[in-house]
Amino acid sequence: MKVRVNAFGQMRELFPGRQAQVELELPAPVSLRDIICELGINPLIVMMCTVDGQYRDKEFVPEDGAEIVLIAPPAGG
Amino acid sequence: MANGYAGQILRVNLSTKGVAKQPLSEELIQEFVGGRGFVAKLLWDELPPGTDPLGEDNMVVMAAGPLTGLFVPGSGKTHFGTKSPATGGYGDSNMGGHFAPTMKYAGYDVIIVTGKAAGPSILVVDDSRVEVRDGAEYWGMGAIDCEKALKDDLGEEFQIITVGPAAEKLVKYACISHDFGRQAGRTGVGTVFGSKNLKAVAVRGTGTIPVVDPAGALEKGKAMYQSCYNKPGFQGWTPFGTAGITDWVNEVGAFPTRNFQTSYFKKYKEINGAALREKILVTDKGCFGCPIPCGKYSRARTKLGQVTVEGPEYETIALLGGNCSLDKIEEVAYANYICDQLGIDTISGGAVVSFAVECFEKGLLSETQIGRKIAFGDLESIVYLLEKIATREGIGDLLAEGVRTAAARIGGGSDKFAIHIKGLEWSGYECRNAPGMMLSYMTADVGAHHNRAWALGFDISGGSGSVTDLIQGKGERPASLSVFDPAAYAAKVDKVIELQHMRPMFDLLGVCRLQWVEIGMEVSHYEEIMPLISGKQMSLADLLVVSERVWNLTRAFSAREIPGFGRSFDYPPGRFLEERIPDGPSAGRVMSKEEADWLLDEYYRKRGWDENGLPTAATLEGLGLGFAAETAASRAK
Repeated sequence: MKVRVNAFGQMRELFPGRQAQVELELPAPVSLRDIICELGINPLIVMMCTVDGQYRDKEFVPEDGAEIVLIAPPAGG
Repeated sequence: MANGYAGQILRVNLSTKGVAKQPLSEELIQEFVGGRGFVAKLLWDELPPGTDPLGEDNMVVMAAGPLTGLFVPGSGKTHFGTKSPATGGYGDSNMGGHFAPTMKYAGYDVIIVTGKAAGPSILVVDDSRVEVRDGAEYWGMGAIDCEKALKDDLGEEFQIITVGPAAEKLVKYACISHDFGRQAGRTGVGTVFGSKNLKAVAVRGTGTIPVVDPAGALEKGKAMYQSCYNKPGFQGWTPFGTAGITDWVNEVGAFPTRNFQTSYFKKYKEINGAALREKILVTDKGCFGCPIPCGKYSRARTKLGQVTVEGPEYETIALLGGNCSLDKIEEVAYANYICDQLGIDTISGGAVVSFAVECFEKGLLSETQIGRKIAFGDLESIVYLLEKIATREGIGDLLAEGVRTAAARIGGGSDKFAIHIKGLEWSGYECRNAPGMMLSYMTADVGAHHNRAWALGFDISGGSGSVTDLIQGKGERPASLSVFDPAAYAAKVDKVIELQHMRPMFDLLGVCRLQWVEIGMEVSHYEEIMPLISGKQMSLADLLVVSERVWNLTRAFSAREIPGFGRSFDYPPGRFLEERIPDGPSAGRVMSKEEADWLLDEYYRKRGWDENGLPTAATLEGLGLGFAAETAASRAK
């Protein structure tokens, strides 16, 4: 299965090659936490995730073709 | 007149009620761009060395940038600067809202206020008409109430900044308030207003800002907004605003709790962004030109009454919530409102109150001295102390000086848990397990403020060399992050310096950084729109050089103004160097003095500063700051 993972802002600095978007080929459905680890990113750095526009926690398992957004923590007030 | 600028500096001497207007110099624009750059240079040039921060000679500089007031995302920022009453060194603070755009429409990029009015006054700027008026009827009003009264008296189209009773009583961390809930909160910029008997500034502007290619700038501006709307994070940001970070900061063990005794607040879900949205939100609110409104209007009912307030923002949640251990979002909002009306910075206010409660718990302040028992988590205690501070009654007179001075007078080892850098109270991130963020705070030019460089994310991501551990840990923080590693720490120093140059760029241009920080709008847009506005090429690299220039100049300013200034001003408080975090995700972590020294040595070396943390003459000259080199050299002796 394939998922597309989007990063922006400070999160993008952690993506391979500072890309804005990464397409991942996965042998089987796995949790968002595993997908984030697959990218070499500590899940702790991810503040929130959305999958196809819906907020999801890191244990959520996306389906094939999912559009994932990783939201980095902002810098406060 | 330079395109992108209103073209004038407005000077007001409150002692004489004298008003002068002068053209904005091309040299100032070229070397310092705008906003924070103008503030730093004008303070260096015009403030007599050794000026008393509360004396007539101190200045308040209010500055816009070349993008302020134009069709550019987040172009509503106003930058304030002064010699800080909180630190005695360089002080600045900025806010959103609508003030600086209106300043420019009235014809001014900069307003400089000096002197001291004979009695309570307000400054009214109505396009070219400028007048210092009697302000007695507004003196004593809450900052929010005063803005409402002035809107009623002058007209809704005036944009107004006010100070509250805390500024009138010279509380060292009084803020400037605007737009019913936006604040320039830090370093005591409001205190200087109070010292000058200046209660408010009202501005109405009906003019325009010259732009070299209006059609091109409009199209580019549209593209910038569209870029924001198209970002995947666009819809994720607004619902919670900055309060949305509360969960994460607790998960990583960096949330100020009980006067920074620990870094994890067990009831954080009662005061987070979701609690705000579910329990007290009325509506979202944005500043001038904002595509991603993070402001929140809230209505909260507590045992002490019902309030309507803008907020709470994350920093307020951290310092009045976790740090004072208020565990209901309604109570945090209530304390927020009290601070806003009194005109107290919620960051310093929360830090001072929590310091006082810990002093009471440790027997260093008595019930008699305070006037009642006080406790963490007790809203009545928090509000009682805030009101005492604002009136300087009883214990409030001591606490109004800030934690550094209060600890020096209280003694008993309280300096170890007076959490500040350079006299400015620490904002919302506990850093014993985040060396990069710790260094950000240690070296921040204004004192312990997160907005100079926010390196916490880099700390948590591992910085460098720890990715394998991180993956194997599946999100659990590996032990290696808590162990000194020269390669990883060197990368953190690099990151801090990079961020300390990146962030001023937004302050120079007069725009909000959140479009970049939060949803990832590309910074390349700025170098593309600047030629359309100003007619001049200004690359990102050019802007970063100006940022570095400003960073060195403000350091030199503090060296000029603070006797003995240098390395000793850059260390975190004893608590962070001696006490291990007792619980939560960062349990057991402490930063050693050796780590702090290593970070400072590396940082100074990479900055071209001497071992005492002072910019060398060569560094200053290389940045076009030769005029400051002689002062720096004399301080280094």
